[in-house]
Amino acid sequence: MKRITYFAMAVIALGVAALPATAANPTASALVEAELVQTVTLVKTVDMQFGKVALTGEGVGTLVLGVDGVITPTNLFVPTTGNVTPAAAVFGVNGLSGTSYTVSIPSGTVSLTKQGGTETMDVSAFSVKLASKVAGVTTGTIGADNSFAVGATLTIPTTQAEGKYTGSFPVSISYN
Amino acid sequence: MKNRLPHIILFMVGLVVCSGFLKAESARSVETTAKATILEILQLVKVQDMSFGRMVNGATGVVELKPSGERLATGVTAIGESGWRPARFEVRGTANYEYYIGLPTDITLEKDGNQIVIEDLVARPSSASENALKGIITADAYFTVGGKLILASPDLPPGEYRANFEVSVGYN
Repeated sequence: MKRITYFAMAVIALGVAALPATAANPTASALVEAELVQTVTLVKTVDMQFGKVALTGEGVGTLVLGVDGVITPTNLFVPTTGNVTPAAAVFGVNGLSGTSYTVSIPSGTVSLTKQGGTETMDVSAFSVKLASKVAGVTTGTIGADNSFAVGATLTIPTTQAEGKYTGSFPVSISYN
Repeated sequence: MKNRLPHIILFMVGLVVCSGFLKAESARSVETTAKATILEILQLVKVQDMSFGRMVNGATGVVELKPSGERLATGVTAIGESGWRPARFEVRGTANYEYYIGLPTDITLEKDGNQIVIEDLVARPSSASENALKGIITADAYFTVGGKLILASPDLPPGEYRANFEVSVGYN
């Protein structure tokens, strides 16, 4: 009887030793994050204004309106009295401070149409200047460049009918 | 003591027999070998947190962050030239053994009671060329984890949304 007992103990001992060792599977924790930023907004604060001009009869007239609002006429007479002050268009930008953005301006031609008529004139060669950048740079930073100016060139054919011409052009910005 | 000695001997004989070493006194004998492999304890260490970077609010959509580090946005605008990264975990254990990866079903990020959910979590072990939940342990084994961030509402307020999540590994 005692022999049976010892044999059973031996079997049990081996059985225990033969069981696979078990351990909890290791785990690790990590942080995950995402940042939502407010939508960037763009507001026009000043309309583009070329002012009043008259053809001199020497050929096609061009009026370059710089981003600083200074005009440079060619084959055009610019009256000094009764005129309106030329102005580059100005836009305000709002969004997450420190975030980079890029301005998009027309790369081609925009038409101005005579009020009460159908005649048109072309505006082209749009240019831009961000508040803290030199002219031509289209990428700025909110906080440093919360506004920018847009200039362009007006082309007036020799047969252009007199009148007041207006039009609109698109400007957009996007976060980088 | 005298009475116990035969019993102890018998006990030892029993152990030998049961461990597979059998040697009878007859002409025929049989030998067998018992083998056991002890594996190193599997270790898992987080070496990099996960970040989806910056996105513009006001729209709904999905931002997918792949374990490779690539980020793809659909319906929403993801901004920045950097700042997003998959989570990365190092695995240590017995070389050349296969391990499996356990990922959560989803993760809920929060900010002031507002929530964003990450779904479809996937992993890429360093030993694999594509996403997989099994890898091979090497001297510098690791795996990266990515997922899909669901922006379900355009009204989510700006800010940083965060959560902790847990992954596990085990020998396969």
